[in-house]
Order: sequence, then structure tokens, then C-alpha cells
Amino acid sequence: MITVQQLTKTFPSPHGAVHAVDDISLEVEQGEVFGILGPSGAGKSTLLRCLNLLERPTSGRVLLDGEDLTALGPKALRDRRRDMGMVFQQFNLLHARSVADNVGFPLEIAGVPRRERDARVAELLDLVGLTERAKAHPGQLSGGQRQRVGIARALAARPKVLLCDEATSALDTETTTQILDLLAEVNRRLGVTIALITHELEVIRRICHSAALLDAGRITESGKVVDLVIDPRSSLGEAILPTDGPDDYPLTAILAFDADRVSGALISQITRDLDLDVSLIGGGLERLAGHEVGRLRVGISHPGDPASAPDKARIEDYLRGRDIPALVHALGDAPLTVAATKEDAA
Amino acid sequence: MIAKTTVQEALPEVWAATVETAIMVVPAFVLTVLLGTALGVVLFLTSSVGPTPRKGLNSVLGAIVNVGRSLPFIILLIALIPLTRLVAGTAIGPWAAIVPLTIGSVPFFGRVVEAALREVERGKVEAATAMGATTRQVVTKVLLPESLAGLVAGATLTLVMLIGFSAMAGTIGGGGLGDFAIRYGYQRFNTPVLLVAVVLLIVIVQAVQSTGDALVRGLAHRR
Ligand SMILES: Nc1ncnc2c1ncn2[C@@H]1O[C@H](COP(=O)(O)OP(=O)(O)O)[C@@H](O)[C@H]1O
Ligand SMILES: [Mg+2]
Repeated sequence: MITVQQLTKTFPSPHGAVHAVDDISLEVEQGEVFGILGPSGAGKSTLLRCLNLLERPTSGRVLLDGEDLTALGPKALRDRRRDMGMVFQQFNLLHARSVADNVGFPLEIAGVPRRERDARVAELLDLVGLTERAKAHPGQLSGGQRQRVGIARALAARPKVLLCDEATSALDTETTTQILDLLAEVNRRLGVTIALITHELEVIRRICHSAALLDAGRITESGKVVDLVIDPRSSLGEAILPTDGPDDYPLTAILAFDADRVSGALISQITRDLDLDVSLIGGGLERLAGHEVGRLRVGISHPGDPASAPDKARIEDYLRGRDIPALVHALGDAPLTVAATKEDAA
Repeated sequence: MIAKTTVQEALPEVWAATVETAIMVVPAFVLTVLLGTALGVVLFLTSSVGPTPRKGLNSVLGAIVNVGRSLPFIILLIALIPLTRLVAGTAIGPWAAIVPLTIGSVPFFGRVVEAALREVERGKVEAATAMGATTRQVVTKVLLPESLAGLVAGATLTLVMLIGFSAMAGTIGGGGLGDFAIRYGYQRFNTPVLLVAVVLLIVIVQAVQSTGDALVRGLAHRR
């Protein structure tokens, strides 16, 4: 749906050039919610703004359904932009207009006649649950309501894609949940592809199918959320489903798995099969992107002899044999720190 | 010795002077709002923080505006006499005064408009651009409506300024209340009649300011 090829955006600054986006390639698939996670200043907004060319890339290409947006003239670009709704952290509603006229704004710009516009606006206000506030002005609404207007407005011209720039970062926890649920519903019911940026892991956990980790203008990791979480070495996976805890057992392991494939009695099975004590230190199971996945941190020791280290290779072989991705760590190995992503690093 | 004109006797002349002031100020104000808005929009659009920066055009326009604003109005008035003659056919009378009044206030109002447009959050312009708005649509549907309260406040300021300017234009043949006050108060030392003109000017300015303030409040209320 959206293909980004070797995208670079460089800003001049008094202290030399700032590489806000540094050679990024990615693919957002039709129908998915793609989350880009990263700390403040990582280049998230710049990357998102390059997708609809609000920011002209320094180099590289942005393709929407195979069409190169960077090659379009002004008129053609304006038309393509109508296929991409945008939702902002600060809402950016027009205060001189009513809620209904804000929602109808993209249609008004496109020259849609008033009658047709009104019908579409009513439909959208119903979708976001603001029918009663149609005549209100944005200043009279709560933050959550304003963002609902923002989302309704972004959907007015029936876009294929929604670009969301920290859509929930100005909202409290409860409102964030409601807005995320609304976005998930828009994605599911209307089939709108969503590309969003966020510095909150909760956003990735709650609604994203795919995720990328952005740091200093580069993507350090990306993939399907499920694949990331069931990769014991993935720091993005670790951030999404953390297995916090010490690594000072004789052997510590991170087990990552698709819980639909692996028996719930996993730990007792390992204990029985290997004749070892396996204690749960951290992690858990979670339902992400429609899959039940697990990431566990376990301590492994000999029963009755907690100080001596069990055979690491034997455990690795066993887990491999059972097709359970695992990272096994012995005392003295480099510390088991896969979690490079700190939540709210902003 | 000739008896001093009484206030009573001067009233018809006060009325005629008030009409002359209106003939100078109202058309100059309308022209200023139209031309000044266009100027302010171009100044904003082409500025480095605007949506379509054009450094060269912006510097040239800015320089012209600054020249216009740095000349005291009375000087501009005299310097513009040839142009006024060209445009109005005469340099004398309230209709002719419209030319220097407009030229004197357009640069000021242009800067007022530019400043008001700068107050509009960038994000609003971006949102419209992201929806596929043209620059013209950004101006007419976002920038101007969103800054309307500031524009009305600026227009009020400009109208009061124009009333002040019109008094000066009066002295070189425009007529109006300013000219009237100078003739009676300064040349004939007729203080009572002078006072009538002064009070009338104060009342007019107050009325303009209060109306403008009320409009601004009404607009701010919607937010
Ligand atoms: N218009 C700009 N001019 C100069 N530097 C910019 C501009 N926009 C962003 N930057 C710089 O690019 C980097 C990335 O910014 P941004 O994309 O806003 O990050 P994020 O959204 O992840 O917080 C920052 O160092 C920022 O200062
Ligand atoms: Mg940002």
C-alpha cells in the first residue's frame, strides 16, 4: 500500500545538517495498522510527514499503491493526498467552524456539493459518537471529543490510508484507550490502512499489526508484532511484552512462543523432560494482533543443587527440538539486556 | 469688530465637516481593508514561516511597506500631491484626500494582517494542506477565518488612525472635522466651537472602538 524507498530528509541547522530521516525503507501493507515507535526527536513526525509529502524528502521515494508521489505535480499530489487522511496530536481543528463544518472540510475543499457533504458528515459523526455535538465549536469539546472530530474529518473523503501523528499523546489514559479502540474499529470495519507514530508502547500493543523502532532517523528493527514478540532476541519484542527480572540464576532463559502452538503446561513439561527446576521470573502471555503470544523469563537450576549450572547446550537442544525460540543465558555471559527500548523515553 | 460665531450658528458647518470626514475616511477604510488584506496575505505567504516562502519578493515588498510606514503622514500627504492629482484629477477636497489616506494606511494594515495570520497555528494550515487544499483555499478557508478576531481588532485600530490622518488631510484642503477645528480654534480662537468639534471627534472614535471591541468579543466567543 505504502512503500518507502531509501528515504532521507536532512534539515540544515547552525550545527551542521540534521539527518532527521536517514535512509529508511519500509512497506505498509494494505489493511494493517503499522506503528512506528521511537523516542522524542527520533524523526517519527518527519517520516510520517514525508508519506504525504507535507515534508519533501531530500532523497528517496514514497509510493502509494505503486504510484511515486515524489514525481507528481502539484495538482496530482493534491488529489492523491485526498486518499490519505491525517490525524494530529494537537488535533488542528478549525476553531472558526462548527464540529460538522470541520468534519465536512475535506469535502468542501474537494468541491463536493453541500447536500452530499451533509449526509457524509452525519454518517461520520455517528461513527465517532458526536451526533449531538454537530453544532458545537471545537473549543467547547474535551480533548477526546476533539480527537474524535479529528478522526471523523480525516475519514471524510474516504481515504485508503490514515496517517496518525501521536494521535493519543495529548490525552489521558482512559481517553487514549477509547481513541485507540476507535482507530482499531476504523481499521477493521472500514478497512482503512493506518500508519501511526507514537512514543507509547501501549499504542503498539493495543492496535498495531506491524511495528518499527526508529532511533536517530534509522529503523533499528521492524516486523509483524507477533514475530517480534516471539523472537527472544528482539528488543522491540521485549519492549512490547517485557520479561523483567534478574538474570542471576545459574541459567536464565527467555522463551518466546505463539501460545496457540505451545501447550500451557510448557514449564512443567520442561521440568519433567529435563529433570530440572524451572522457575518463572517474569513475562507473561498476551493477546497481540489477534494472536496469543508468550514471552517468559525463567530461571533454570538442578533440583537440590541450586548453585551448579545445568548443561546449557542440552537445554538449547531441547528447546530447539520443541521449536520454542529461546535465548539461554549462563551466569558470566554478557548481561541479558535485550530491552533497549525504554518506554516514554521522550 | 465682528461678533464671534456662536455654537448654534456653527452647527450646519459642523455637520458639513462631519460628512466630509466620512467621505474621506469611509472609502479610504474600505480600500485599505481590501488592499491591506491582500498585501498582508502576500507578506505572510512569502515569509520564511509562511507556506510558500519567496525570499526575494518578500524582501522587496517588506522594504516598500517599511518606507511607507516610516514617513510621517503629513510628509506623505505633500509628497503624494502629484499622484493624487493624477488619480483624482485634483489635489483638493475630501474625494482627493482618499488617495493619500489609503496609501498612508495600507502598509500599516498590511503588517497588522501579516501579524494576525502568523498567530494561526501552523498545524491548521498543515491539516488543510494534507487534505489537498490549494494555497487559495488555505487563505480563504483557514488563515482569514481563523484570524478574524485579530483582523477586526486591527481594522478598528486602522479606522481610528484614519480618522486622525483625515484631520491632517483636511488642513491641506480635504476639509472635514480636523480642518474645521483648526479654522475655528487656531485661526479664530473660538474655543466653544472648537470644543464642539473636539467632542464630536472623541465620540466618533469612541463609537468606532467600542463597535470594534464588541465585534472582536463576539468572534472570540465562538472558540
Ligand atoms: N523543520 C525542521 N527544521 C529543522 N530541523 C527539524 C525540522 N523538523 C524536525 N527537525 C529535526 O529533526 C529531528 C527529528 O524531528 P521529529 O521528526 O519531529 O522527531 P519526533 O517526531 O520523533 O519527535 C529533530 O532533531 C528535529 O529537531
Ligand atoms: Mg513528533
